[in-house]
Amino acid sequence: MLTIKNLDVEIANKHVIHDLDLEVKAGEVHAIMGLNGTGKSTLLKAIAGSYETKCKGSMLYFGKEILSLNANERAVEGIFMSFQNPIEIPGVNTIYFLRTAVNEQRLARGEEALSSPDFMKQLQEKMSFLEIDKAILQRSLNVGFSGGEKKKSEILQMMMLSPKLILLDEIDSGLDIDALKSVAKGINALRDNKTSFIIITHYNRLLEYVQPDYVHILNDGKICKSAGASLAKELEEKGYEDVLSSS
Amino acid sequence: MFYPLHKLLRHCSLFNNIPTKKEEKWHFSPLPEYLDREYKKSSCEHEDIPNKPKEDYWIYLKDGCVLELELPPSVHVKYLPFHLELNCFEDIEIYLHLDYSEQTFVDFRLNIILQEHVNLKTYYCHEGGKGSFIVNVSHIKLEPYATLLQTQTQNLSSDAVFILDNKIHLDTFSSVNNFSLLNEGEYIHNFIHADLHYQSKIDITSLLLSHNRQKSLFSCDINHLSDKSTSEVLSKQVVRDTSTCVFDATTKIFKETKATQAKQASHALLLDEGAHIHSKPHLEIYSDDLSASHGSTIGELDQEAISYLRSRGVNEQRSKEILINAFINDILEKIEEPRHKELIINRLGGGDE
Repeated sequence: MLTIKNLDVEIANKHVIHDLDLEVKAGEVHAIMGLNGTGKSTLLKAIAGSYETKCKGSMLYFGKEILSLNANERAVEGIFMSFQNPIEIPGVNTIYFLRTAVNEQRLARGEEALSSPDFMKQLQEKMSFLEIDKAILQRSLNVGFSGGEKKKSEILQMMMLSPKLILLDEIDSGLDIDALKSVAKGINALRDNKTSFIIITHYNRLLEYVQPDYVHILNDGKICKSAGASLAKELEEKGYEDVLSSS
Repeated sequence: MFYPLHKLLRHCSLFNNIPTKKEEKWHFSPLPEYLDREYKKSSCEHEDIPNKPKEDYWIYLKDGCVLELELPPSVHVKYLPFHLELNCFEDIEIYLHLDYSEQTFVDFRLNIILQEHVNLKTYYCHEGGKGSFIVNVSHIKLEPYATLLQTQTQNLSSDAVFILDNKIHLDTFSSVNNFSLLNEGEYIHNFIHADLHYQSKIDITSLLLSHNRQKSLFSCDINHLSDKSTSEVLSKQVVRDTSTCVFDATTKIFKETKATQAKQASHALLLDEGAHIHSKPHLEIYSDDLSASHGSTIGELDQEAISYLRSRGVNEQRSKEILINAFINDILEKIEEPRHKELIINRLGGGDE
């Protein structure tokens, strides 16, 4: 599904990712771990097409080069990124925003827009599934949401937009156990043999609920070690210094 | 027959003398550049109105002259060419349809008196005026406990000049809620002057949407003359292309007044490099028993917010529209009358929700 070759990424005039290769097949879950400041978020932003990133190299998505596509074009192609700190946007009603996003993507793909009743039916189903209080969706987007509510809102958006490649940037940070289970439930609900995930996390606890196929350690802007799910546990037990020095 | 503007302005109800840029409230006005332009005088010839308004009570004016009206006996009406007086004795809602001809100089004066305990709602819509110079001067007097809910909108030609001047006198315990949406015209200037007496209250909200090479000015003078009077002025401006918006508000709190509350706020969104905003909030305080604040913000659209919306598949243009509407939306909450709010939302293009 996603083939990245020789990727270099600059962000805020700093060269952060160096000559990175990564392949993600349809249906796979890849976890990216690493010390703070090693380029994990930058990598996901580069895949999502964030305006902050300047990229060189190759990024093929279903065989199509996407480095020249902007963020909304990549979203329409099925790439979704959940943000580490979702921005608050006063004055933009959450439900209105969701409906707009869903329909803008459908129209861009040549599909018909969802009618209000159909949209609300789907939304209510997913809100019940994620145990999200209806009241928060009447508010402005992310305004006054707790950390857990913001992350659940990101997962709700993910479920409504049905993307094929899902990028999760520390979706588990700041979550209590119940919220974490709810978020994991949402992720696993979309997991099938066509949908892929790239998940950034610092801890193994999310990965106990969402079993990755591969774990990669990013260091100094490069993937320096890759292995199966057990690598996350090994990191938790031994720490980065020991794991990296033993490889 | 056409006359130069400097001659027409000599007899205009708005000015004693033609103002110059040295005068504070006219400092940013392009008026001196227009003085040699020529206009026809409005003629007040009777004509049939194109469509009868659907509201219960309405007044239809062409170039400042009443063509037709529908009002109950509780409103005493006097009208002459370019001059209309309304004296209201009972609660009522009136819609004023003000139509303007092309290339015409219009100098219209409206006097309104609200008797004690009377509640008046007015909705003004100004239309047409291609190449015209339009002056509307209103003197509004509220007797004790009277209330006025006033909404002004326009659908004028992009080359019209539109100057509104509202002088409002609020007697004890009276209140005014004034909302204006001004977005069309080469030069728009909205003046509001208010004198507040004991426990009176005025709430002024102005939404200026300027584009191309428009100049949109909002000037407001509020005088707190007695105890416990309250004023709130809120202006939002969305400034595009090479247009200019001006916010110029002075709130004066007189000596020996007590427990006054006064607020002023101006928030501007600059969308293009050539857009300009001048903001001058001003408090003159001669009392020491009051609460007063003023503030002004000027900014651009939040790039991070645009990026977030785009990451969800919303294209750049639409993302910007959503954020501009979000900027405007909360000001619409200040419109108390639901029907007026609906009309304003329709004028803004249907709203978002």
